[in-house]
Amino acid sequence: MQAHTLKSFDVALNDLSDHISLMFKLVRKNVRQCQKAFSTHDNELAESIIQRDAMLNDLEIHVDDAARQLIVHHQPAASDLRFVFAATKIVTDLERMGDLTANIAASIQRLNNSGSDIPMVFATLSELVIDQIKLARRAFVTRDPQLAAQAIEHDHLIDAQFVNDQRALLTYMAENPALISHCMQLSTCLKQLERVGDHAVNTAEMVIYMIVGREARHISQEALLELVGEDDED
Amino acid sequence: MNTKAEQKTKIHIENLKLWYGQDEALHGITLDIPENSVTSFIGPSGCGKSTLLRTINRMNDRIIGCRIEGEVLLDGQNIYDPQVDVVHLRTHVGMVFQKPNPFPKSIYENIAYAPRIHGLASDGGEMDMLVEASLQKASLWEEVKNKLNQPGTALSGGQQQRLCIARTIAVRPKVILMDEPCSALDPIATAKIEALIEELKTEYTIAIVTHSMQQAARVSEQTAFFYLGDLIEYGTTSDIFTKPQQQRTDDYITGRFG
Repeated sequence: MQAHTLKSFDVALNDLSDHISLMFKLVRKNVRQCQKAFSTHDNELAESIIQRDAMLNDLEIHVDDAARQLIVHHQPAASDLRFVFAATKIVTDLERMGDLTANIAASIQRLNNSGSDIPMVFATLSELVIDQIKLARRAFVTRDPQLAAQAIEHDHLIDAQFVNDQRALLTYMAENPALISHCMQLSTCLKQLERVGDHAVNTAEMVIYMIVGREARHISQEALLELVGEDDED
Repeated sequence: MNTKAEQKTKIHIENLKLWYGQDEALHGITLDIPENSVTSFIGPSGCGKSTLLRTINRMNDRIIGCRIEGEVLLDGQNIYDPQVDVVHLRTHVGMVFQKPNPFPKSIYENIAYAPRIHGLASDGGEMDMLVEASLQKASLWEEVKNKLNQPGTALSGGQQQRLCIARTIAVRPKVILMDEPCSALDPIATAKIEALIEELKTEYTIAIVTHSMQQAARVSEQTAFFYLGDLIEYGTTSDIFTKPQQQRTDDYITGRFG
């Protein structure tokens, strides 16, 4: 994209973009570390995820403030307006994703402390969510609506895996009634992880709006593909 | 290009080309301006927006070497037909300029001058009513009602501009053209003119040339973007300022031009 005549405008937009990109990376790192903290029973690692939440909160406030300043100083219009609008929406989802991963980390600590032998149904779902966050971030950074559509489509895989994992847990609980409460806790973790994916979908939808200028929320798969296929020059 | 099919077209410009000597300043502009609404023309200097505005009341006629092809239809009639009386046309299509240009006469005479010439009102009570009504419509009456005999040039810049708008309204036009009407005014005077534009559009069709994109966004329903004598994009102001279809429009509106 061509540079603005006024350099400070580009500096402000890039600042917004860089901070959102960083938030995507931190959330992705949280999911990755949740997976590891669960599989290796590493409570310290889980603690570092919980601690990182404050950083994501600060970043959310920074982005909101930077967006306000940008509106005051530069009165963004057209593609810039869509970018700033999308940024303030995306940041809310990213912050929420941070909260969810912190909650998961706290549950993992409790599960680790219980010392119970519960099934390791976490890795596949978290890998899928990590891939989705990567897609959404790349779509945002490279302004690629097709990648954003892939991130949205990816949610079907996550939903299917979530259902599978829940079934597996149910079977396990039926066979091991003594571990029901622990398994329920793990089930909640999976649900929260699935919700992280839903928020990633929201960010990808805003990325599409930001790039093509048309609404990507609450539309059919067919309409979505048409949306990202027909308008890639704007 | 038509933006609002359901709205009546007041001015239809069809394949309008204009030359200043050898230079083609407008390359075949086609544009519909809907009735009782505000349409803004934006674009960098030299893009042809003021030239196009001036074709709507034939202000370019007097420029030596200026040649025009195409049509400008006002209520379906081509204003460039040989039988059209230009003086009469300009009572229907008024113009407000960048710099307020009141006549060096009293406030009252500034308004009464043209209606008297055109025989729209006779001196006395009828003219008094027309002067008051025009100043009322231009939101100037309260400020000047006690000093109608003072010279128009003694008013502030913003008041002078509203006086010029009142003068335009006095001859009961259908269309008001405004060529950067606020560029010489401070923000308060600008806000008053913009508020006035908002009121006037219920009765008149307004076309405005402005260098302030925020002003175009604030006051107009339609926006046309011009570049180097071409109409690049025309649409609702809301679409042009949130999702323009052309990259050049986006670059201009976002300040990435050149």
